[in-house]
Amino acid sequence: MSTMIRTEALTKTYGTADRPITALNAVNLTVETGEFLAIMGPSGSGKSTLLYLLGGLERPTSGKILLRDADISTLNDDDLSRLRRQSLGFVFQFFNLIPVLSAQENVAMTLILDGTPRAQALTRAHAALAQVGMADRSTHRPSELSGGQQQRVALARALVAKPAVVMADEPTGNLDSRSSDEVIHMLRRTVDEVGQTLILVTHDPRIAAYADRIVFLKDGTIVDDNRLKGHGNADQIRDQLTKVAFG
Amino acid sequence: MSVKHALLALLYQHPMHGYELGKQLNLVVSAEWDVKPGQIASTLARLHEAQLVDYEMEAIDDAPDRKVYCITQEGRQELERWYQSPEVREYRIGDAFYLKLVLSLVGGPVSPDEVLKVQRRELYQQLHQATALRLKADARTQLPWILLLESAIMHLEADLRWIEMCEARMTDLKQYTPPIPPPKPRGRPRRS
Repeated sequence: MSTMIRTEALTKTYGTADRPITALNAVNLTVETGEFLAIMGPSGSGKSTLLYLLGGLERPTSGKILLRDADISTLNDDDLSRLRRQSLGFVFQFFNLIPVLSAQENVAMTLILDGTPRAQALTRAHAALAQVGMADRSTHRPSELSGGQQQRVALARALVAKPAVVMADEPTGNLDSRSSDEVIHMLRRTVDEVGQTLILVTHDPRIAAYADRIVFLKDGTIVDDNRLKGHGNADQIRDQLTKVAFG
Repeated sequence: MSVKHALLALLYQHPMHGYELGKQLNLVVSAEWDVKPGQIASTLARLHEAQLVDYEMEAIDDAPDRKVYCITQEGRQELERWYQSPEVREYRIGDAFYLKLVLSLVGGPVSPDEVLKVQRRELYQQLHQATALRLKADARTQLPWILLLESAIMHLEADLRWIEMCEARMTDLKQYTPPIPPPKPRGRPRRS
């Protein structure tokens, strides 16, 4: 397993010099390629801040962020934008799709902005939509799609440029339980089937349980780092449950 | 005992012999449970003793006669009574772990933060495996099994939310002083 992301003493402070608020305090985190990492913590723990820093959406106050050994914390705005378009995919809680564009056009937009010819971008967008099971709705506008479907389009948009890492910030926060299941199953499948590296922030234990590893933040530092073992005790659970049901 | 009532529920449909009952039970509840023939036989014997079922002997070729069971009127009433009574939920992790947490607050070799962490790790591990099983299950053919898994998942979620709450209140909890009497002076009292 190779390292995809590594942070060194990553720190983010807000506020003024005499009243600083430390959102992240010298965090050292390593994320492996193909890993599904969930970041959890109470409000104010710094979990979203950590995600935005890793995704180049904010700049650190101090410390380093290395994406495949390249220090992204010192990139200028243009290079950072290009990095985000080409190497990173984002999924947010409130979908953020463009209402006047179809699903296919929404997904193609990232590629078009990066210079891909329109026809090619649309073809690749269609393939990405197929990957998330939305090919038959590619001409629909967001208003014609359910919450879960919109979020899947958002995921296709995040995946279309074949990013090194997908970052998701409470992707199921705005969905009912059935749609949440759809979306988290889809996310898990991309990790299992194409080896996507995925970092997801959530407050929902059920969502976090799909991950390979959960990191817990509190007051800007990592307080627990928990690798979840795959198949070991599945039989034990089956036995426990049937025993409970049948005595 | 649930096996007893499961058999009554099946016999309510139509009479069956022991082997059929075992197979039907597995099909209906599809909970990946391998019923042992011995368990069916002994439960049927108890049901017969309690006059909740009756049987007739059936002759079959090349095999000993076998019993075909049917439900009695008392059996039907018992089944109805069972359906009409709610199941009382036994309280789960709350008690054993609660005790551990409160004792760790008094003092000891392990801090309450660590106690919470250990428990949380285990719960997430179980939740991870339950959701993995849930993901693999086929909603078209394994719905009862999915229901069972969802029950486990939701209880684990509730336990984890409770742990989160304890963590959030840890500062208050650490200031709680339990009513423990001070240690008594040791040794015999001096003669005056």
